[in-house]
Amino acid sequence: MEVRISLDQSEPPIGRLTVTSGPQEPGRTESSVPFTGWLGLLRALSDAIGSPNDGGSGS
Amino acid sequence: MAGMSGVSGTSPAATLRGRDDEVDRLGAALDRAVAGRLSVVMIEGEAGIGKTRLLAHALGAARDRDCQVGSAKAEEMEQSRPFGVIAAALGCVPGAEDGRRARIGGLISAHDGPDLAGPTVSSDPGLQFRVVDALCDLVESLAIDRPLVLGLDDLQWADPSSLVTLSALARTGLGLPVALIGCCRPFPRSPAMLRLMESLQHAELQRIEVGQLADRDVRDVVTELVGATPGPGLLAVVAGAAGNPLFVTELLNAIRQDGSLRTTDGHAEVNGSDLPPSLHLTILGRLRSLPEEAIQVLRAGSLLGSMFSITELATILDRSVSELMPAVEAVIASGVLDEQGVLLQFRHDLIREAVYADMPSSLRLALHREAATRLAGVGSPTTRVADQFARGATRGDPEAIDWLTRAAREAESTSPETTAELLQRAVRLMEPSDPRRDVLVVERADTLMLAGRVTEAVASCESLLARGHRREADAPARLRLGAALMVNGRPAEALRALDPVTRSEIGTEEIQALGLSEASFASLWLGDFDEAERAAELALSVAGRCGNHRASTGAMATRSVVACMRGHLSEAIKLSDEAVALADDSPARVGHAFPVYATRGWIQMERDEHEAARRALSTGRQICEELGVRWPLATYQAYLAVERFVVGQWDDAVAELEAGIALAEETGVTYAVKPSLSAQAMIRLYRNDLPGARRAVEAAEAVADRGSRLFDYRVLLAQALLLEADGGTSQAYTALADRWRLCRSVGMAIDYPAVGPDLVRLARAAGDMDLAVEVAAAVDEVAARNQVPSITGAALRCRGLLADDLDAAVRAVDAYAQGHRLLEEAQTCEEAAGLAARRQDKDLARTLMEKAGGIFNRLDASRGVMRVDSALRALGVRRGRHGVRQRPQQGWDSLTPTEGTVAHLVAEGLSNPQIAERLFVSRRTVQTHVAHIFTKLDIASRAQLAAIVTEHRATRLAT
Repeated sequence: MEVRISLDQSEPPIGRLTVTSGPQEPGRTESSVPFTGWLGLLRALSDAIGSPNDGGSGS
Repeated sequence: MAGMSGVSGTSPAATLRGRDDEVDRLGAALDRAVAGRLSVVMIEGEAGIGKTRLLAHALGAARDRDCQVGSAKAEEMEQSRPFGVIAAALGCVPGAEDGRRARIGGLISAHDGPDLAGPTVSSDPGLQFRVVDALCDLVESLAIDRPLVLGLDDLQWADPSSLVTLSALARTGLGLPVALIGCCRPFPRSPAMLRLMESLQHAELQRIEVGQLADRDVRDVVTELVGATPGPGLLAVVAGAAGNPLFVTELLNAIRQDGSLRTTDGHAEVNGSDLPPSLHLTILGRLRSLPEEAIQVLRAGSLLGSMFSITELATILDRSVSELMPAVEAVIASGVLDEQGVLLQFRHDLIREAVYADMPSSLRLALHREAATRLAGVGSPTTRVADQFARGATRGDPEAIDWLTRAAREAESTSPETTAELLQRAVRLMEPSDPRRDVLVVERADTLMLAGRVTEAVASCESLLARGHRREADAPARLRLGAALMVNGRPAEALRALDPVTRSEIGTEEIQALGLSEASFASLWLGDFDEAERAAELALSVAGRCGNHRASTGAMATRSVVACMRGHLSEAIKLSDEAVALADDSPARVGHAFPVYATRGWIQMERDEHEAARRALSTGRQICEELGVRWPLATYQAYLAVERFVVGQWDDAVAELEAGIALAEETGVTYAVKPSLSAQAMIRLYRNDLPGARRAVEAAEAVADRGSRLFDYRVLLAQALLLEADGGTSQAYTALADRWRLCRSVGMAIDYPAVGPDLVRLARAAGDMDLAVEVAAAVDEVAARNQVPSITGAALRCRGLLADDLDAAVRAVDAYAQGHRLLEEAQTCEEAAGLAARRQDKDLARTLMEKAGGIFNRLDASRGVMRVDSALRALGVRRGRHGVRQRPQQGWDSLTPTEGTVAHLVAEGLSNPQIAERLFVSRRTVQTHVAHIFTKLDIASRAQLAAIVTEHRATRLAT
């Protein structure tokens, strides 16, 4: 899985978070969500890769 | 009030740790208050450092000590709400059960509703002063029952009126069982907050600076919160919180929430070794799992401030309350918001700030505007709407500027301080080219004058005139600058500022009339009576044409002072009658913006009509208090004090003078302070406090240095007598003689009788008979056209001194007695006694000298008493019964009669305002008396005073 964060503004951050499935996974997919602020970014990341206590791999 | 437990409901609040010193100091402050001594404490430190927690602890300790406790927290978004935090702490709301609180609440909230037609600026601009007084009275009456502790959190966000009230409480609460405990961050510090801190220095402010927790305390906090001994990894992560307890708590909650905390065998450790992010990020990280709706609630809430109602939230989100309930419940369950009655409150300001700062500024601006529009739509209070518009505004935003201006004008009646701040915000939002900008700056200067912040009014107008400004603002700005400079004791500068206005080069006819009136007043103080007369007559004519009552009253009053200064007292009183009538008849009594009763009182004093003078001055002071025109209060206080000096009530004069000089310094209204300072110098001189007398003369000279000429001669007389006391008789003569010529050329005839006799005496001693004759003739001339006992006395005294005329001197004694001029009567008795002794009429000499001694004794003028005593010895009388009666410096017997009365009234449980009313003096004077009593009895509380009074009564009964 690849996570790409593109920023239109850095502080607080505004941009998009794009998650692309790994090359070895069948049916390569890409999803992208906009976010606003650190809170938005953290929420988008949590949704994409899960929180540490959710057992998310983080990689 | 919010605690310090952090955003998560899962972590219990840690015990207060590492604050032993702070807790001890707060405990000592409370003990001091319980013992009846005012305590003022400011807890200072960065956000999250534990100020609120310390305050809560102190308030708990206050309850344990059976104190009454009131507390409130200032809100960042409510800085425009007059008296917000102080009224909340004292429970002053319109619906309060206690009638006193309800009345104050009613006064303050006159403008809180959208449709309430409250008092207007013109009908009731004195509201702020009445509210401040009412709040001080309330605190005093509560504290007389039981010790009172007020805790005020987040004072950095407090509205200016609350801060003004705190300053007044610190001043009036002397000797009361009251503790004022505030919390504030080191930044931001508003100008109002800086002024408060400066004023609190006089109230022995204790500053408690709360720093970071020591490592061992952090370790203890962590141990308590995680319920296990922290390992090195966990401590290293927590070390990043730099000893800030909120940050420590937040980090632990974040680590726990992330599942990174391991606890084994009573030891806690963290997985991984990530460095801690910022506190903001830590807080935000913990909010990420909240539902989207809850996040919206938090963001909207952060726009409204750290405390807000669900209704307001629903309004700005354009949703119904029931729709919002699930999200609100989720946020409350997460521990981010607390319920405070009907309001929601962020657990800590930093949480609100983190959420607020995390919104991009463009979004924030848009949301504030949206919130403002919706709040306006439902008729929210103007200040609330204005604040939202202002926060959502970019430079030049017309709506924000309009709302701020509207809110400023609405607040003017309750709080000129708030108005000044709101106008400042409006001005800052305006484009430099905005035609209203300069007008608002001028309006703000008016407000600053109303609030008694004269030097700021000067600075504001000067800066406007120094930069490029609109032509139409030039005349009003110059007019305000001239008025402010004048009362600040700088008449020459005032005249320069007013020049183009008076020459009708700029501005309307009304402005010209006002400018001429101000200019005539400035010329008067410069000693240019002809010009003052000319300008006043022109002002009256222009004011008559355009119907400006303020200008005509000022001009007429100035004419009356000119007549008085020229020594035409009958004409002066006639003109003064006309000025008072003009002021009384003016719409909304606007004419009283000029202190007409001060000029009237002064003239009556010169005519020896002391009772009438006192009545006039008290009436004027009362009218100004009612009208909320604060600057003339210093003048009324000054003249009332001088009146006490003149009639020989020196003990009372000392307190009144001190109170008046302090008020003049505080407000910047220093133009009329010279007579006070010279009276103070004379009392100190005669009471043998030569260094104190010198200080008063120097202070008076500093005022004279700024160009004001009136009353110079009285200062000079005090200075000359001081020189004489130091043995410099010829210097005293030179100094007085030099100025005499100037005084003559100006025609300041009213001062001739005041200084003439001493000048005749000094001139004769220096062998300058020509001058002695000239002075005596000049005083004679003034006496001939005024049938005033003390002026007649001065003329007779001069004659006595000039020609060793014993008969004239004895008649002078009677004349002064008739005019109730005690000091002059005693001085003349001494002089007449000297003449009688030279004629070998020892009986008469002794009788006169003993009379002088008796008067000096009544005045407690030890210097005079010693002089008389020595003269009596020379006459062969061994230490007469009027020998130096040294009043002790300390203890009950050191109290003056008035101080004794005040002490008894305090012991009866009367508050300062009640005592003031009973004794017909100002509250400030009572405060000064109380301060003097405390110093003399070496006590610091009213309770101690009550005990001493009781003991004294018992002793007197026993004997």
